[in-house]
This record gives sequence, structure tokens and C-alpha cells, in this order.
Amino acid sequence: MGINGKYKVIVIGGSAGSFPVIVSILNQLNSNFQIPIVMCLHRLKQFRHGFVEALSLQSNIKIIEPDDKTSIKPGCAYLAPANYHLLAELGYTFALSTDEMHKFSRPSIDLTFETFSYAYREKMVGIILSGANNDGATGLLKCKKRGGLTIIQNPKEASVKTMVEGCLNLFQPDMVLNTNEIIRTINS
Amino acid sequence: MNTIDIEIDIRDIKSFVQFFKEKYAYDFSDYALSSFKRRLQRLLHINQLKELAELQKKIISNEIHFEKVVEEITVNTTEMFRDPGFWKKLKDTVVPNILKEKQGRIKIWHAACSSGEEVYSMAIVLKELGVLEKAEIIATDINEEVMQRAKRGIYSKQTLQVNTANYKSYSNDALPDFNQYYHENDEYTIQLERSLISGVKFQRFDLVKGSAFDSFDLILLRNVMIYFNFELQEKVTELVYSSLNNNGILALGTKETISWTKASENFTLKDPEDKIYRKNIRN
Ligand SMILES: C[S@@+](CC[C@H](N)C(=O)[O-])C[C@H]1O[C@@H](n2cnc3c(N)ncnc32)[C@H](O)[C@@H]1O
Repeated sequence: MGINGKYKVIVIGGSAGSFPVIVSILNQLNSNFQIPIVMCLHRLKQFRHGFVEALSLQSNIKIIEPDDKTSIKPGCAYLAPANYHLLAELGYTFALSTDEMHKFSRPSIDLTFETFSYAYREKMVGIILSGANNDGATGLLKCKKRGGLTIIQNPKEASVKTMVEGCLNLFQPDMVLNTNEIIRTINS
Repeated sequence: MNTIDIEIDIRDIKSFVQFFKEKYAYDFSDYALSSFKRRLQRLLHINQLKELAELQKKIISNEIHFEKVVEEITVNTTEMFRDPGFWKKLKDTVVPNILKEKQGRIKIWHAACSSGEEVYSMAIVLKELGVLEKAEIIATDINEEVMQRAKRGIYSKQTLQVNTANYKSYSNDALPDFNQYYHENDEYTIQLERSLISGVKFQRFDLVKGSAFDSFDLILLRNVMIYFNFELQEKVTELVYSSLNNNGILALGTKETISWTKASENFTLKDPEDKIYRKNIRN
């Protein structure tokens, strides 16, 4: 059985080097893609504008920077707003927080993954892409422990390997894939 | 150990909140769960405890002071000119519009002022408009300790980089540098110009329990509603509604919204990007 039907959310974390991968994924989603995608990408907070637009250029689905308490809906991709942590609440709504940086990051991938895996349990797919720090590994492990499907970008393909290797140092994720395979998998 | 590895059960959170509510005058029942849980994880972590029951014991025995717990449970992070674009609008349109409609003093309420950066930012905006003396500012927070910091106006040099960059972006580089507003205090800290806030009244105020105490032309309620659940957001929206003059302005954090509250019918969203609302005139 494919991803569709079995999972209720796909959460993607990435940092340095992940932008082109994210763009490829968004541009090649099936046109009727129905699982909400939540993206927690490290970025400079000065870039408040333009990021959503850059991702939206050729994306097949709508990209939104959610306000606090927005409900998480199929057919949308959500981007963590700059300078906030992006969390999930139990009723499948977003929650934002400005609390301390975690591993020098806000938004922090660990925090997004931890709260999403808590709210969605085995209904979550977690994907970690290229990145230059260690944020994300602990969160992806949480996803694994709570029964979710865990995927990392192949370190051979990732332009900066630190983040995916951080995951591999902690545990063996369910799948280690190149960008094309990630796209094929989530479209399945 | 990582804070996120500390597992806390929701039932334990509920009973801890109940304990706190009965014993002390704080009610966290309607705080949004996800971030509240993280605060508790953090509290356990920094006190090297495994579960909330242990924390509760330490609070009862006064090994950990309950006010300290309140300080840690609430999120106090703030910046000068956080969201510079918002402050620019405040200066270019919001405040001038209020001044046009209003003779005499304008009244401003910072409803969750934290360590004061927001209050100083406002004072600077008003000063640059030449109307600081015309403003009556009240700054409140649930937490006495952070307000003490606000009154002292001494901040770590580490904050300068962000604050200076925000100020630059707010002023489009058109004004002299941010450093006109502070001087060095010691090796590690700076002292903001205290004359900026000499007219500000600081007061403890809990948005959960408080009721309207005055009416204002402008209320800043920024980055505090994100920590509240729907019910509490509803209640606080009503509170600010009854604390605003007709046509009064409410500014939320840029990612906050009151659009799903009932009380929002009585507001017009003037600026969707920076979440600036205006209270409608009552018929
Ligand atoms: C993240 S800070 C926001 C500071 C500032 N407004 C800003 O946007 O930068 C949140 C503040 O809300 C305060 N707070 C939390 N719960 C509160 C309550 N029930 N009543 C009043 N203030 C509260 C906290 O003490 C903290 O100082």
C-alpha cells in the first residue's frame, strides 16, 4: 500500500542545501495530492518575505505560512514562519511559539517533529533532507518510536550531509532515498 | 538528556495545573497544550527532575519558588522592534491617524510587555514623531520579574545585533543609528535611555483573571495569545474589546489572529499582514 490512504501528514525538515530538493518535491506532486505537507526549514529571519513566493513558483499545491491555531488541511503545504517554532496540537491545528531557540534554531525541526508525531502518531511521515546542523535527528527518532514512517535523503546525494548523518548516528530510518525516490514514494 | 526526551502525560499536566490553581493565584488551565508541555519539560530538565509530582513537592516545600515556576512556564522572549515592518506602519500611519482623530493625550496599553523591549520601541516611535509627551502608556505583564528588567532598562550586549538590525530595517536606514538610544553600562551590558520610559506606568496584570480597567486608543497584545487555547483567546479578545475606545487599534503578533473568535465581528482587520485591527464604532 502506498503513502496515500495510510498517512495523514508529511513533515519535512531541512536546512542548508535542502531548498532545491523541496522545490523538486513541490513541483512534482500529483495534482490531486491530498496529504498536508508541513515544512520546517531553517532560514534567516531577515528573509520574511519572498520565501513562500519562491517555493510557490511552480508548486502543484498551495503554500501557506500558517497563523496560530490554523487547522491543518489536505491539499496544502505549510511553511514554518521565520522566527517561530511550528508545533501541532492534538486536534490537528497548528500552534506557534517564540520560545528559546533549540539547537540554535527557531523554527526547530526537532520541535516540529516531536509535536507532530505526538499528535499524529503512526499517521505521520517524517522526512529529513540536506542540512548543516544536528537539529531534526531526535525529532525523527520520536516519529519512529511513535510508529510513523521515517525517511532521510541519501547522504550521497545530500549537498550538506550533517543533518542526515545525525539521523543515521541515532538510528536506522525506514528509508534512505534520493530526491526522485522521495517524490515517487510520497506520490504513491 | 534532551528536553524533548522527557515524556509527560496529559493527565499529569492537568493535575499539576489544578494544584497550581488551587494553591496559588495562577490559572494555566487554558494555555495551549503543545507549548505548555514543552515549558514543563524544560522546567523538569533544568531542575533535574523526572516527573511533575516531584516538581510539585519541591514547590510545596518551597525549594523551588512558585513565582520562579511562573516565570519559567511563560515564554518571555522578545526583541526591540520585533517585526520592523509593523513598527514602521505604526509610525507612518497608525499613530498619526490616532492623533488626527484625537485631541489631547493618547492612551496606549502594552498587555504583555515582557522585559520591556516593546515598550522602549514604542517610546522611540513616539519620540521620533515628537509626541512622546502626549502619550500615556501602561505596560503590564503577568510576571513581576520581567517588568523589573523593563524598568531597569539594562540589556545584554548580545541582544544588540538583533535589535540594531531591527531598528535599521524599521527606519530604512534613514535615521541615525540605534546607538543614540543607549550607552554602555559595563563590559556585558548596555543601558537604554531611561528617560524614554519615565512616563510609563508598569503594573502586574494577568490576562486570564483580569478585567477591563481603563480604555485605550491603542493596545499591543503581541505574541501572548499564541500561548492560549481557543477559549482563553475568546475571553481575552472580549477583554481587549472592552478596553478599547471606539475606533481604537488592536495589534497582535504577525502570526496571531482573532478571526475565529465571536468578538472579532466587532473589529475590522485593517492590516492582514501585521494583524492590525480596529474596533468598530458601537451603534
Ligand atoms: C513572548 S512574550 C511577548 C513579549 C512582547 N509582547 C513581544 O511580542 O515581543 C509573552 C509575554 O506574555 C506574558 N504572559 C503570559 N501569560 C500571561 C497572562 N496570563 N497575562 C499577562 N501576561 C502573560 C509572559 O510573561 C511574557 O512576558
